[in-house]
Amino acid sequence: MAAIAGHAGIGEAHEPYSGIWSWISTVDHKKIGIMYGVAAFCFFLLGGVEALLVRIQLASPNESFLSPDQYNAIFTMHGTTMIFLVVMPLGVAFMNLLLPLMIGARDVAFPRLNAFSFWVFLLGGIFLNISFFTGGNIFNGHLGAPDTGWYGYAPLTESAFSRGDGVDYWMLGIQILGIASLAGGFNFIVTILNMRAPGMSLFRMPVFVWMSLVTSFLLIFAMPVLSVALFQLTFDRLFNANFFNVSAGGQPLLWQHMFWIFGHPEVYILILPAMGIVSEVLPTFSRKPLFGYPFVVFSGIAIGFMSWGVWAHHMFTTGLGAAANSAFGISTILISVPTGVKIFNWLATMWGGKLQMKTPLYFAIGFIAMFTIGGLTGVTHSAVPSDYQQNDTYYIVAHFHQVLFGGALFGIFAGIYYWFPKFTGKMLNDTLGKWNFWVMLIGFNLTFQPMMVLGIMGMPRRIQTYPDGMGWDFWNALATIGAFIIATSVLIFIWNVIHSLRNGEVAGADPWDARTLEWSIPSPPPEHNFDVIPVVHSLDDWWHKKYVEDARGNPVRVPAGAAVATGNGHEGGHEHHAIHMPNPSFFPLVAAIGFPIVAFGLIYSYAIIPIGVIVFVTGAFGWALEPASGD
Amino acid sequence: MSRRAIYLRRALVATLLLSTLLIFSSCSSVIGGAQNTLAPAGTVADRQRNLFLLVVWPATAIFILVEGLILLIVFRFRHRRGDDTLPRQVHGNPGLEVAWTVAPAILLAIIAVPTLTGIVVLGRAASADAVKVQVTGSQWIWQFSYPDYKDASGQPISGDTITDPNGESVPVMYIPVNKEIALAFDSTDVIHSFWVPKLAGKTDVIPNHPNHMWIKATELSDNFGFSGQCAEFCGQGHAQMRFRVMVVSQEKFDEWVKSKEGPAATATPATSATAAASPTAAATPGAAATTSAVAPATTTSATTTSATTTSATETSATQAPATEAATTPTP
Amino acid sequence: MEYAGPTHELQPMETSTGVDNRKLLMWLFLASDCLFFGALISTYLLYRDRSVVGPFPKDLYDIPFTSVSSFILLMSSVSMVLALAAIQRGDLRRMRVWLVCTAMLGILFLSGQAYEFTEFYNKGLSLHQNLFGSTFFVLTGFHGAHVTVGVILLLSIWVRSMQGKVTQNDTLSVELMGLYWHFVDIVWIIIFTFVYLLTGK
Repeated sequence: MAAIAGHAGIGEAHEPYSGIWSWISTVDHKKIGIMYGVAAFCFFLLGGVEALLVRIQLASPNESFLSPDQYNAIFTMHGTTMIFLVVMPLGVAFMNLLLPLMIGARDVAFPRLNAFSFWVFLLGGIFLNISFFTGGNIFNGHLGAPDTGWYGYAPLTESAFSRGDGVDYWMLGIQILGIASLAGGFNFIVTILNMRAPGMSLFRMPVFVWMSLVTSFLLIFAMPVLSVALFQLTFDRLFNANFFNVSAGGQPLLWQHMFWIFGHPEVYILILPAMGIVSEVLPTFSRKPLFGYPFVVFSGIAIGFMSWGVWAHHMFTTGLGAAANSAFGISTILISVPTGVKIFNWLATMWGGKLQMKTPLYFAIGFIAMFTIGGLTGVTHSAVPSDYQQNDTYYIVAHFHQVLFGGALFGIFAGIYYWFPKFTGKMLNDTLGKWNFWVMLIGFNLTFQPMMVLGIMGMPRRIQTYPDGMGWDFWNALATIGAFIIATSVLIFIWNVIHSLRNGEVAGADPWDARTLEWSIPSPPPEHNFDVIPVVHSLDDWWHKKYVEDARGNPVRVPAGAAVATGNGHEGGHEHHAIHMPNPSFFPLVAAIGFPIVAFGLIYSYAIIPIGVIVFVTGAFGWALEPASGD
Repeated sequence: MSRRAIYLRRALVATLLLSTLLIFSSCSSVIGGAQNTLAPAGTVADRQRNLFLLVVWPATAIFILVEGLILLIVFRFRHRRGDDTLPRQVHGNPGLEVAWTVAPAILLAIIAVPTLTGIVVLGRAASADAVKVQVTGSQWIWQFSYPDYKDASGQPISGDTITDPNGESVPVMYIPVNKEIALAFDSTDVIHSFWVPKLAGKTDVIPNHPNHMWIKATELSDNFGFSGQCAEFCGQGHAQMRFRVMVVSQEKFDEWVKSKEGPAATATPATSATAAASPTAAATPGAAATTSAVAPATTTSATTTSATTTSATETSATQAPATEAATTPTP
Repeated sequence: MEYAGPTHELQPMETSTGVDNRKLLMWLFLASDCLFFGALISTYLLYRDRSVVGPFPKDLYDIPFTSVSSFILLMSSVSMVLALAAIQRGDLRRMRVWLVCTAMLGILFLSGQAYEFTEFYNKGLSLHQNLFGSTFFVLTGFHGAHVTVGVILLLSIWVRSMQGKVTQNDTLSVELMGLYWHFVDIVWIIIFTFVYLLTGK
């Protein structure tokens, strides 16, 4: 079953499976990346609908559109979905699609582990959402979903206070998703450290690769802590242990410490890939290199390290004492410095450029504009006594949406518009793209800036309703209108994707005249990526194959044809070795199926657990024993 | 693209950014309401508001700088039609980059100073003569009890229930104005958070983790009291876990305490003022007459120094003589 | 086993760590696992003197017994080292002997743990009894689970070797096995020190 792609076999069918089976059995990083992206986008629509339901309920005072139980379930699922099932996997989707291409590799280090990671993520996400159906008749509005917030503060999550199965689904579902994240993190680190093309030294790596490396390290160190916290909760709920049992002396704050030791690095896990994307988009469309590459890289690394020392800023009001509050206040103040550096470096990248006003650049600029607000509101939280007022209000809701939506999601949209042609071969429509951007930007500001006012006016988070006369009505109505405008922008995006896939302009290998290696190969890339593994001579190597700089720093185009000859290996390659690609495999999926079965067993009947274990072991052994590739 | 379309687009951009700015700047002017954190009525909330504003103004300046730069760059450096040249390839400028690392660091160091002093001041223990209130959070009700004041059966007196402006019955905590209150928090079930935005920021109410906070109201509340509510999600009834804090003059507070203690109360009251006068005598007009000799003197000195007595006489003139006696400090 | 790009042969020092992909993966996994045990051990230490009711550590711990079982686990690390040395010499027969020896010592350690758990349970300690019970059983239980996985992996390498499917080319598999096993051993030394020897009040 050797999957051998000849050097000229662009698009040559050599896979043993076709149609849907080729996707289910794939170990190709590009297909896995696309599946990650599509699955995460579906969850994004789900989380978006949940957000709209929340906004309808809060549109006016004393609203009874949702009961408190329904509201609590929906806001919990909105947060859990958007963080674990949308922004995180969208970042992972880009890492999957781009890392091997950007470093000049043919795949990730462990292709089957990569497939395993995706399937575990997908099944974990579905498992989490099945909880909706466990509360009785869902059509009568009985939602069985977890209703204790995405951060699940003990002891509210203990069996004494949350009797249904919702919290069980939550803790086991996130545990499963954690396995997917860990597997992905290991894989990407090994890929980046070991699989780089000749000449691709660490400081010639694109910034996106750097940010992915930092993100992956954060993942592998943050996830185990969450995992332990979830295990402790699991032992409490299922086996009557006492970790968060107050009457046995348990400390609710233990959960908060563990959760936020995971949770703050998590924030950077969500935002760093988007920062990486923006650092790729801005130079391309400014037609200038990134300003201060080492500064941007080192500030990313600094953020990675510092993110471990700020967790208690989520806990300023819990009574940690003046010493702890001071220390974490200072560390929170400090972490805003490397973030600020990046913003100025991005501005300087555009300064003096010739900005190609295309959709990816719009979203990248939108990222800077909105993320700046998120960063600045963050500084107001580091002034600890001021945070005593803002903590747990809509001001915080506004703040982190500016970071995670205005930041991470705008960055991700920039990335989608930028790399869509690379992986589909079609350009996304630019006019629709700009409509998408403006409608989203307006909707975003209309939704989240009023929330800042609401927080300052004393509206707490997570309240299902509020009385008349608090002065909150107008701003809440505005936010709800904004949310529907955002929804409209997402519909425009979906239409753009459908329209462009059908009738879109055909993209060449390098439609943006870009800078990094992935643009040196055809769109969509062949399964083996590079016919000839490129040899890298500089940062932005592909750009320097196309342009040389004269003495004054002005770029001069290399005579037409030269770049293609050196860079597009599939036309000029001399190496006729057969390229060995990893075999497709079903075993990662089989192994992944074991996890939700075990989780169902833990909730409903321990008799099911052995079945899950057997399924997992079968998958794992089949995986270990089958040959990985043809030779 | 036609010229008109370009103008249209620029107008759109300008409107958008202007409206963003407007919304941002309106934070401090348009807003109000019962839980407005920018309209404090107590020492703690006032300090927190000032610190917030101290951060907000430089943040606004940076916001305008960054967004202004974005606008400038987008208009000045956009690619012009027919321009086939490439810009000069600037790779960086270490001096400039160090400058924009150090400048915010200095700005932030300046903010750190009031932050740290704020943490220490707000985190200190309440003064010794503070009125003690034990606050207990339960799903989904607040209870207030005053360990220094005992009722007829020897139990600490507890807060009342009032009907709030929305017609809902909510617990109410009575406290005297211009006096430190030492709050001690405990929860009987899950985590709650005690928050009266006009008086002070939050303190979480955590089972098995006793917390403390001092507050000091500097303004009297209206008849509904200041609005407060639970700020930590605590389950189904979280949104309904509201309460009120009635800030009254010391005299009215003492009266309220007395009414809760009941006529037969013999327990030694904590405040020295009420200790000086016999509890029963202070409540009768006769007692007021006996102390009226000292009352005018106190009134004159008090009106100049303390807002307490002034507002007390305004709100309840008939009770003034009696309450005057009750608040006479005994050095 | 897994697909490794062609970069190795070309410029290994500049664009790769020079460490085999799978070995790097194992190191990363162990680094991540440090945080896992770190969180469990921290919880144990934070809750050490907070149990409301007994039995308390000093009522239950049998230090001589646990010292012996700790010694057994330490010895299994020695036999693991010998197994790796054997396959590096190409001596597959000795490797099999030492692998089985390591697995047996691991099983002996697990039996000791099972005995200890039963003893403690009979003396009134359960997950539900107090904080000590919850933290002790979950911490040592997760360690025991790691040892169990190690034993299964050891035995599966042994079975494959009996089938003649492990050759000197598979030295890396045994080396990775060794890395994992030594890690689990070191974690036990930390647990033994902090949980058994430093019992607090």
